[in-house]
Amino acid sequence: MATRKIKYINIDADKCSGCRLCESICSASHADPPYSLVNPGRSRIRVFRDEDNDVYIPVLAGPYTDVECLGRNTVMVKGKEYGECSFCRASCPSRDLFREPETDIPLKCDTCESINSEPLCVKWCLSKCLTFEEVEEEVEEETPAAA
Amino acid sequence: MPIGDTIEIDLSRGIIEKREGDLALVRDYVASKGTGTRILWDRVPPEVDAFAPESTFIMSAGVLTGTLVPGANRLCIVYKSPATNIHCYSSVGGFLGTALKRTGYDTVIVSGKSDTPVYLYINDDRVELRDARHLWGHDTRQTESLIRKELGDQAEVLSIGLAGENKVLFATAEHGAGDCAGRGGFGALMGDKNLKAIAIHGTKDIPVADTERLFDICNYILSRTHGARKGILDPAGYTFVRTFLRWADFRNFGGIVQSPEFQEEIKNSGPLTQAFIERTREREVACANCSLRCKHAYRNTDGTYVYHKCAGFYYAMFTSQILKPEFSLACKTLFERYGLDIYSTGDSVAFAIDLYEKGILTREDTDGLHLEWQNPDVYLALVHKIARREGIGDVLANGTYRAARQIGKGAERYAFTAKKLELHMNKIYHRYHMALSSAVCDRGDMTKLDSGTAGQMPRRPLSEREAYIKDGWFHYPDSYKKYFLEEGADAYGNSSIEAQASYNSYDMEQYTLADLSGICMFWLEFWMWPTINSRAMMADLMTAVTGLEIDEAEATRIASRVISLVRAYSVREGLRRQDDFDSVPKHTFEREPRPPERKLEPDTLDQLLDKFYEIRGWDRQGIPTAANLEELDLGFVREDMERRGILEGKS
Ligand code: SF4
Ligand code: SF4
Ligand code: SF4
Repeated sequence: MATRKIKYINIDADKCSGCRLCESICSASHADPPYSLVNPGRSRIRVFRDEDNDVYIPVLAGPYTDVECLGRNTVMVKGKEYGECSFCRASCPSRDLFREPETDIPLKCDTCESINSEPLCVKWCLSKCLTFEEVEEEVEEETPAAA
Repeated sequence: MPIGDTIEIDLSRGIIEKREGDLALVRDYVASKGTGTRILWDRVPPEVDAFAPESTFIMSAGVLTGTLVPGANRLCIVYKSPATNIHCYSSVGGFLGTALKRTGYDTVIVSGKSDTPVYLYINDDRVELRDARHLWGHDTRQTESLIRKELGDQAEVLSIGLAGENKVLFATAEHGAGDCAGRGGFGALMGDKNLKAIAIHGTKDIPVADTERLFDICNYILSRTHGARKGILDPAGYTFVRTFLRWADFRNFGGIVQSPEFQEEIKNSGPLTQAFIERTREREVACANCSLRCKHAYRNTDGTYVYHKCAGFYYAMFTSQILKPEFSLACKTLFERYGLDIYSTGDSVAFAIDLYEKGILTREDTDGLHLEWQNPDVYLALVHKIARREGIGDVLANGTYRAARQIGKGAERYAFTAKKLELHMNKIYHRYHMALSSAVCDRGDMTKLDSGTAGQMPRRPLSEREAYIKDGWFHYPDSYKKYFLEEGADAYGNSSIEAQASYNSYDMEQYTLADLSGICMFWLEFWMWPTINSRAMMADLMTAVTGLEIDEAEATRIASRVISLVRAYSVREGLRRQDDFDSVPKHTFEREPRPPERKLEPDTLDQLLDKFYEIRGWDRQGIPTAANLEELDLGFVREDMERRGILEGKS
């Protein structure tokens, strides 16, 4: 048995203020050159919001998928129904979310590894809705790490 | 440098024109209130009534709006107010400004009147006027959600409700989570133009010039937000309750006299209100890129949500004398849906009840409604009547200044307005800085000049003031330290005339820069702990984003230019010293303050005005002098004013 470090970004949606600073800093920090622009459309985290129902949920970009789901479910939050896609993390052909605007390249949260930084959205989220945690977990040596 | 383009819309003819942004305009006026006022100067002279088809409003985003700068999210709307008939502007928070910046445009000029209801949709490069007949009559929340159904959830919407449609002179335009263009009746202007809403969706990049510099300053700002947070609110809501009690006391000096029993009730209601807030407040909500999150989401009994911020929470409670926070929430919900300014509406309702009590209004005037304090049904009935312009509501909907003159019988005595705008909140003006703020504020609503430092600090112990400087919160020029550390402030914190006038003048520049940059004033010194705490930092931020070299002196010059231009605009509409003087309600001079506090004498106010005008380069009438205008490159203003015989003195 070996251990490896797993990075977690935990979301406490009750603390989300909907400020979207996370979107801004993510898109800015991953821009080329760094910080030369802000565009939530390039962010690897997006905040779903519904002001009328007081729902604010940050969604971190997850794996890419080349086909959309076959079945669709619905999600109830505070008694109101939302489409499942609302909170889905996938970069998926059914929508524009989590794909670079011009190039269509899928976006995925890399916990800011590609820019050699601590997760910046976490750092800039002063409401502490996002928190970061690194956990040592045991892995079986012969199993390749899941993506 | 990255500057956005301009859209020009003529609603009468349905024409939409686009043109490139004007770099010269950016250099001289930056954006927002500056650019807007420059355009307004040409388009809406005194000959054009606020409700004339030629009347034009300008929407312009702050130059930092949508960048990484914390709290930079403002969209400024500049117009001639149908309520005050002078220059007016609204600074809208939320996500409208960032959305506009992302379309690639940063300024939108709207004139004309549409024959049928329409709404404007700016979707990146596609700009269109869409039919809004199906939206007419809907409240602001419904309108927003119907438009989002049509255009998609990403669209940011600013819309009017019934009050705007009916041209209530204090109608607002509402947006998202409790943001609005609140004071001065912008909603009525939209209603008059048959413009039900403005929807914006942008997907483009917002570029900045000097990336590293900007990132460093932003990190520094964020590391200091605890200061501003401390000033704005604390998690338990204690600040709100304490403030509430203080205001309640203030209000007693005001026109709407509260009984001693009511005063007592107010004291006892503090803990109840606090318990209610703790129970009902579900979330702290923020505008774009803001970590201060000063807006609070509350759940109504019917399961809907309403957003409250700052003093708004208490306004319906004061003006109804019903100390039930749940009533306050119900009122806020109603105001938001009708699109009514919370302060002017509260004042107008209270004004009516006050007049009724004094026998100036009778049952015959009120369609049989018996007006009385502490009656929720009466209060709400009046709000409905105002929004719908029914019966007495049709008179009250013109604002207390005009309503008082329509009603006559001495009603004028009980209308408290500054430049025809209902006076916000604090009705005691024995504090120099508040009196002066109210007097010289460009739109009659003093909040933008209500300097915490000038007002609160002088009466604090010297050691505390020294620590304040040491901890880096003091944001005035070094030369102001002598005022700051001077002894001898009275119980109101009043220090020398020169000190107070200097603070006010400097604050006016600072808030003007906040408007131009698009930074919410709560990040400045409004609550005494300025996170963005120096002129140099403001200049640095603007430079980093625009790439234009704007240093401290240039920032000050630009701010001064905008301040004199705004002033000149209103002077051209007839504003003079007397209007400033009368913006401090007369009862300030009539009622005795409680010892050891000292009364503000008319003579003191005159001295404050003299000093303030002098610092700004204005003459004794509060008119920018020819020299002042020339010095600020406002030659076109000087010429126009001379032609109109306003600058006779040429002093
Ligand atoms: S920065 Fe934090 S509080 Fe703001 S939207 Fe993102 S997750 Fe929510
Ligand atoms: S951790 Fe980094 S990459 Fe992931 S969403 Fe946050 S800022 Fe973006
Ligand atoms: S302090 Fe409040 S009003 Fe100002 S930007 Fe932040 S959330 Fe909006």
